[in-house]
Amino acid sequence: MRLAGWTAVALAAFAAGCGGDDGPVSAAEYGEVLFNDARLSESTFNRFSCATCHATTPTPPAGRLDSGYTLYDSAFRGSWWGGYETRLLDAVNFCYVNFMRGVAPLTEDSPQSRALYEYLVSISPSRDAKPLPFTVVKDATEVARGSRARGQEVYRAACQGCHGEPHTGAGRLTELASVLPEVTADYGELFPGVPPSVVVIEKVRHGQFFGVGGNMPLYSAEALSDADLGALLTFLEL
Amino acid sequence: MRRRRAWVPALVLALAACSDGSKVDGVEPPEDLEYAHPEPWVEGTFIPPPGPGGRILITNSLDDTLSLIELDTVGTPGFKELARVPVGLNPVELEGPHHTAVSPAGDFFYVGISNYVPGGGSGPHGTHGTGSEDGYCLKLDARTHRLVGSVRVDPNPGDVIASRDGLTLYQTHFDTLKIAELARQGITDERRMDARLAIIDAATMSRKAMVDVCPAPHAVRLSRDERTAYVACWSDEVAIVDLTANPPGVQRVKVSANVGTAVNPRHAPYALTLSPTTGEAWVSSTASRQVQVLNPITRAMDPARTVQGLRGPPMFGAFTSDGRTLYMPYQLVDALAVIDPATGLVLREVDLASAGCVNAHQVELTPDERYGLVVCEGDHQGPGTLHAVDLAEGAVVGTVRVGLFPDSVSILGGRP
Repeated sequence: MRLAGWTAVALAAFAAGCGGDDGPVSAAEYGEVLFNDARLSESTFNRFSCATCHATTPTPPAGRLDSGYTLYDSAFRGSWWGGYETRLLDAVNFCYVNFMRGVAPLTEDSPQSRALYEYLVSISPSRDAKPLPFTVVKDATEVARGSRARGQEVYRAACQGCHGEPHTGAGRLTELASVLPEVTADYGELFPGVPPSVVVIEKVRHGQFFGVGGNMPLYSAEALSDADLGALLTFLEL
Repeated sequence: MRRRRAWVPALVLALAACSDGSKVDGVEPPEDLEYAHPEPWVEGTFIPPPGPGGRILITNSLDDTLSLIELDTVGTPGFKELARVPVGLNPVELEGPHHTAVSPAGDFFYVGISNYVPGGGSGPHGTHGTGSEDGYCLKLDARTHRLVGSVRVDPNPGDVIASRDGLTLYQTHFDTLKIAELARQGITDERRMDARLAIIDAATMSRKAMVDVCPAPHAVRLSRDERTAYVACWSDEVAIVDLTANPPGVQRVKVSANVGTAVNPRHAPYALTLSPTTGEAWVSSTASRQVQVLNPITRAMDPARTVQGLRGPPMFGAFTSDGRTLYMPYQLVDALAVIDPATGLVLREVDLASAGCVNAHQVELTPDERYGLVVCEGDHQGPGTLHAVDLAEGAVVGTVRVGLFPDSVSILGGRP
């Protein structure tokens, strides 16, 4: 009798479609799931979801320094990527292909693509949202160092999510993410005559672009100030 | 006991799937997905498609944009930039759009991506924008300005043109880097310095042929029957490419009896303008500031009609459809020379500098040949300009500020 009772509970939960509501699933709801799930990309090497780099609240939560803007009010900005994408799907696909290792861009009419769009619209109440600046720091040059304490905060807010704990990498998102700052031990050989700090600055400012390679997004001048970058380098003892 | 525990995994699964209260299980789309927006992914920035009046396209090579201007506003107070749209494959890096070709039907246009952008960025991994990477030819939908195709070509794409039927593109590679690199190695064999002419299927955006033409070929134009391509070569030559042969044959003709080398040219041909009536190729040589004439029949230069006395480097000119007048913009003093092709004499000049032109680069005539549209590079730090020149009046009647270092002007559609 007890067995039959619990089985009934489990089956009822399944039958209820998990949420207790057996109505249709809204595309926005499905889109939110996709937004937070790295499996949106079919690549077996991908560990990034949209949420890895983007908040969805009007301002990013405290303790979070993302390379990407919050996507609250993103749907109607008019242009993205500093004006270099004028269609939201193209902007999304640039992330999807380059950072999430998507094999091919999301098509306009796939359920996943449409659901993502509807989720983004659901968190975009303003139809008059303005495009946001995105300033690429073209030249990787030294920055003034800041405080170690601030650098630790920056590491936690900007780096730790992907790279894990400093020195060990414990808890990192993927083993493809380097352990900091230990990865710089080889820089003297790889980049003779170049201070390792400049290599790190290049990686932060250029991400995978400008011939750098890898999978890391870049931090624009708006996403990370030189002051915070300098503090981070102090924390990393670079 | 064992039997009683058999239901536990099912329950755990059920609860796990429901633990966040979501009705979605995993990333597979639910069967009963309900959409609120029938038209997803609306355009962020809407720009009206070109109308029957036609549209002017300008490539801004240092900021990865195209300036769009409605053709029917030329000569009116409405002569202004309609929009500036991004172009390229990558919104992060500057890619140096260089020259535009338009399809005869006005449905597509093609942009060369040079990846040559001085000051494009630097770091321990190297300096970006030096032209050492391969270039591309992009195909864009003229109505939406969206990328619909691309093909990788060689480094430093230069000029790009379309055949009259729009089915074939011809793209040169102005690869002076290759010349410099080989010269640094002590190599003097100019055939090793040759860069290629890409012949591209415009429908599939695939390469049909890559033809070695000459060191740093830049301007390319087709003969009226499109059986021959003429190419201005930095090595003091014009390359004559026989497009009927397979592979295409190349003959190189020195532009003067007194020439230099690819490493040290005395004339440095850069641009080329074809007479619509005689088929003569008028070669703009930047170092000697001459415009030299190639006879297409004899395949020899006609030094008697060489345009001389220009006070700066001549660039991309334009003929009137009757072949009787050649308009040639030139730099330093920045003027538009009006040339009699029968004699090679400069009949008069239109001052462009006083209208704000710096580094005149190309002139294109409006379909009614009433105006010349002269694009000027600017100082490469601030905006360049497009000037509408009333050809009968010999005066600039309109100026539009465009993007950084504009280097081409094309007309999409437009009916005379």
